[in-house]
Order: sequence, then structure tokens, then C-alpha cells
Amino acid sequence: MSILIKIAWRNIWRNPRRSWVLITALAVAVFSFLGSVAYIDGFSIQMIDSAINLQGGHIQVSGRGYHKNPTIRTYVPDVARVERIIAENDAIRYALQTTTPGMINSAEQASGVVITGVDPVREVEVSSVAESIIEGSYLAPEGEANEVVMGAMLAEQLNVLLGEKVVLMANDLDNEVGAGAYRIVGLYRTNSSDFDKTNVYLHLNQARNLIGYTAEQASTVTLRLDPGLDPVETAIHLQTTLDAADLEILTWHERSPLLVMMNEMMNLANIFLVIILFTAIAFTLINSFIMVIFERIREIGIMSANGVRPGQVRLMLYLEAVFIVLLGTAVGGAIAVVLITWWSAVGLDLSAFAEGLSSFGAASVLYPYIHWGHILNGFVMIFVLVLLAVLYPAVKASRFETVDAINHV
Amino acid sequence: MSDHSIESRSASLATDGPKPIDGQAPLVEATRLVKIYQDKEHVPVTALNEVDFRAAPGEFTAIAGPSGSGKTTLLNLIGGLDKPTSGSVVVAGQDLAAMSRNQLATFRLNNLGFIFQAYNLIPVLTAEENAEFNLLLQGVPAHERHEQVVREFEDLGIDKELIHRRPAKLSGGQQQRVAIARALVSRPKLILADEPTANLDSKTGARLLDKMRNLNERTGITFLFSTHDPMVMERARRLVILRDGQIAEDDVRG
Ligand SMILES: Nc1ncnc2c1ncn2[C@@H]1O[C@H](COP(=O)(O)OP(=O)(O)O)[C@@H](O)[C@H]1O
Ligand SMILES: [Mg+2]
Repeated sequence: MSILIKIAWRNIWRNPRRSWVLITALAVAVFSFLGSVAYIDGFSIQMIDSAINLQGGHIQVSGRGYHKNPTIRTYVPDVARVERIIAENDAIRYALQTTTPGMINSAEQASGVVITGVDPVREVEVSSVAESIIEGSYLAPEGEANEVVMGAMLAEQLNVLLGEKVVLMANDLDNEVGAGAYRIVGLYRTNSSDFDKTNVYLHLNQARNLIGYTAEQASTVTLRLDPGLDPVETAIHLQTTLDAADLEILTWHERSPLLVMMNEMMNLANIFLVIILFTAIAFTLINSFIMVIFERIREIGIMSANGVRPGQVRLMLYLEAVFIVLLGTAVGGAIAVVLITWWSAVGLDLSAFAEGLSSFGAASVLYPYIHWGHILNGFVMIFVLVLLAVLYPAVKASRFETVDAINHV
Repeated sequence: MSDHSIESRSASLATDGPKPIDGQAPLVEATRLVKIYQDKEHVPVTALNEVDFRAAPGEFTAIAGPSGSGKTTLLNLIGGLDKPTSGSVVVAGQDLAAMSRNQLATFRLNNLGFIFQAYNLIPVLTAEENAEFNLLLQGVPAHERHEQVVREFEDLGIDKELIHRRPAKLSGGQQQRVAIARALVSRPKLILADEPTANLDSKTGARLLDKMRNLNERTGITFLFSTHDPMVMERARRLVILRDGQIAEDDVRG
């Protein structure tokens, strides 16, 4: 066995040029694979992050049917009870929101928006809007002043500045139109331009007043889970503990099926990439291994005469292929680690295409991310492809008739 | 068989059947061996024609004959490297026809040693590694391997400083010595040597032959040579002459 390893290893270096060509091709493919996986994973993590950070956390509790048809008539009725039950788990942070469609008016312009009432102190724990403020500040933690926070892009569109006033209008539960004037205290900018143009934030109680909710009512309770807490399991657990037929408890997967689908498609794209890259490599390997066995036909015959079994001949060639793949992987992997580490520090600036990406909720600067599970899957596939490629030459070599092989010069 | 020489007349009777071998069970027992090849035009070529051949343990036998007479074919069949068209080969009590490729490989590893005319060695292994190749396959521990190889190398007059060289850095004679060392070191029952001296100068050839004869006497390992080298025939204790795929003479000497 160890002699086979020795022979396989040394055989690589008999024709160093050929081996280096193979190793280089593998390294390039491994590097391309790792780079693209890291970027795809980075992209989907950023998208998922923004879905979680901006649009409802890991889990959202609402009135039943709210997700399909978000109207103010569908709400969480006994908010105190829901809060009490959620608060039992220390690993969950949560905040209440009221949400309603409405109009925003400046002196010159009007626009349809989603008006969300939040408790600023709690909201910062579940949403990244507060962190995205680029001018002014978030809603004040205390007080009930008539404050509004909006996207910088919306302000631009309405032609209003920080500190100026806008009028918000919405229908209340009795279908009466309510309105109020609010001072702009903060402007934010997230990765998603669509989001920024449509979402404005008020203090929770003012929003309640606007739409006629009592302190016992809210549209949604947004939950943020500590890492390690599984959203799906937690949602199932809450379902039983909350035990209310009129509540809906949805994870981000359920709320964003499109995102989940896109994520799956990207993973599929990854698999295709591996298959395309390494099918090309596999043909190169088959080629050079067929050359190899014909060059070594006589010594294979000598080994066989001396008692090396056909399976050991195959093993020897497999080991050689594995060594070459390991070398290629090591070289490609090393380059990838260095470059990806660097890229994940500086990011890949896609601002030229940012408008398009932004509407997906992805950032204009993309950060690659190393997802070990995906990389492992890729490597398993690489090895399967390579071993399949070497199967033909290896089997061929092990089927040489010993006499013919010995007579071959 | 008009060309029988006088001195082999008595022995030639033996072509009718196996030689009596002092009541010992034969080590090699080939019966009615036929080997027919197809040449490039698919014309059948009869390399061996109903050959009966036996060898007792401890023999030092040369199979001679003109080129194309079937010497290599006979050795290959005895070594289980090739299958006969018909007839049977029993070596050390085992019917080779009944064995799978894997069983044959293991059988060769444990019972046979091969020496070919040239290019016997594995290019990427050093002289020492080549010599211990069979021991490695047998799983003999390192220190034993080393001891045995060193002893064999001394015996065969292989210079100590050559042991870490690869075959490409050895002369033809040195390579052949290493090949002999490999065949001998695992102490097989039977060594099959196909024209082992053909590529050597006569001095080297003679020295290696004496060495092998000496080993044969000391250890009782059976040697079967194919050759048309008179030096080999001189040293053989039994000389079998093949002609056109048949045993023409079979002569036991002192
Ligand atoms: N693989 C082969 N294919 C076709 N003919 C062969 C093959 N091997 C040997 N022969 C023929 O068989 C005969 C015996 O060959 P061989 O055993 O090599 O003779 P020797 O070793 O005595 O020179 C020759 O006529 C040779 O041409
Ligand atoms: Mg021959």
C-alpha cells in the first residue's frame, strides 16, 4: 500500500511539465469556484440580511391573513399577552409596529408611502433603519414629539430637507381620513432604493392615533433571534405557546419565498459552475492519464508479473490523480483565501450596476463570504468528477494482459 | 526428429511423458500445452504444440532453442502471465487455469520470481526499493526488508552506493543484478528467467549465472531459464531444447 503511494507520488514528477499544467488548470478552476461561491454566498447573505433587517426580522407575528393582505383591520389584538410570552425567551429581541398605507405631502409633492409606527428603543434591536441614518438622527427614544424619519431618496423626491415639515395622511379603522404634520428628524439610506422611497417611521403611539388603534393593538411584532436559535423551530414553538387561531407566525423564509427561491437558484448556479469547470478539467485529466498509462505500460506489466493485483494498479492511478487534485486545490485554495480575505475587507464595488441590484435589496458593494458547507459540497463534487474521469484510464490499465504489457516496449 | 544428437538420445525418450523425478512431487507440471497466437493478419501461429513439461523442486534448468521456438511462451504460461489455448499448468500443486486474476497475482507474489531480458525495474523506485518491491507487497516489516535486501545486494556484488539510485542511473548489468535481487529476496519456490543474460556482456553474464547457480545449490530455489546463450546452457543441470513449439531434446546432466 505505502509503496503504491510512493510510486503514485513520484510518478507525478516524472513529467513535471504535464503535471504542472494539470495542477495549474485545477488551481484556476478551484479558485474560480471558490471566488464565485464566496460572492454568491455573500450576495445572498446580504439580501437575506436586508430582508431580515428591514422587513420583519427572523420571525414576524401578525393577525391571521395579514401577510397576504396587509390592512389595518388585521391586527394583533392582545399585544401585552404576546409580548409576555415572547419575552420568556432571553434569546429573542422583539418590537411592535403598526403599519398602514398612506400619503405623504410636502409643499410641492405627494407620494404614496407605508407609514410604520415604532417604539424607537425596541425598534433599533430588530431593524437596521436606525443604523442607516445618514443625516439627522433616529426617532428620539423618549417623548411623543411629531417626528418622522424617511429615506433620503424620498426626501429628495418630495423636495424637502431635514428639519422641514411634511403632512401624513391615512385612513383609520372607521374609514375616516386622519392627518398630521411631522418634522423630519432623520434621513436614512439602505441598500434598497425601493425600500427607501416607500417607508416612513413615526412614534408608535402617534401612528396608533392616526389609524385608531388602542394600546392593546399592533400590526406586527417583529422578532430578532440570537445566532444559534433556529427560526423555524422557534416559530413552531411560538405557535404552540401563543396558541391563538387569530395570529400568524411567519419566518422570513415564509414571508420571502422569492428570496428563498433566488437563493436556491444561485446555489444551483454554483453546482453548474462546478460541473462546467471540472468537466473541462476532467477531459484534460482523462487525456493525460491515457498518455500516462501507455507510457508506463511495460512497468505496469512488470508490477503485475511481480504480484501487483489489478485493483492495486487502479488504486495507484487513483492516488496519482488524487495527489494532483490535492496539489491543484492547495494552490487554488491558497490564492482564493488570500484574495477573498482581501475582497471581504474592501468589498467589490458594483455601483455601476447598483440601481438594478438595489431593487433586489442587495448592496452596491458586495462582500464575499466563505460558506464552508457550500465549499465542502463543491470539493466533494470535484473529487467525484475527477475520480470518474480517471476511472476509464485506470480500469484500462488494470485490464492490460500482463504478457502484452511486458512485451510492450 | 532426425536431428537428435547422440548425447541426448536417452533423455529424448522423456518427451513422451513427464520425467521421472526421484519420486518427488513436481514443482511444475505442464501437460499437453498448446498456445496458438493470431498474428497481425489473423493467421494462427502455433507457438507451443502439445508440450509436456515437468520440473522438480531444486532444478536449474535451461530451455533453449532457436528464436521463435516458444521458449518465452512456455515460461509465460508456467508463470501464469498468459493462458494456454489448451492443456494445463500446475505449479506448486495449484492449477493456474482455476485461478482468477487476483489469485494469480497473489500466487505469483508468494511463489514466483521473474527476471526478464531487460527493463525489469520500476523507474521511479531506487535500487533498494525495487529490490524490496515483492517484500513490500507481502507486508514484510521495514527492518527485515532492509536486512534481506542488503544481504542480497552484498551477495550479488551490488555496490552500497548504488542502493539509492534509480534504474536510469544504473548500468544494464547493475539493473539486472537488482532485478535478480528482487526475484530472490522473497525466496520464491520458482524463478523464471527469460534470457536474463541476453543484454549483458559475457563477463557480467557469467558472473551472475554463477551466482544464481550458487544460490540454487544453497537454497534449493528452482530456476527455469529460457536462453540461447551457450553460457547458460553450460551451467544448466538440465537442458531442454524446444524446436517449433515442441520439446526436441531433454537432457539431464550432472
Ligand atoms: N503476442 C504474440 N502474437 C503473435 N505471435 C506471437 C506472440 N508472441 C509470440 N508469438 C509467436 O509465437 C512463436 C513463439 O514465440 P516465443 O515464445 O516468443 O519464442 P522464443 O521466446 O523462443 O523466441 C513465434 O513464432 C512468435 O512469433
Ligand atoms: Mg523469447
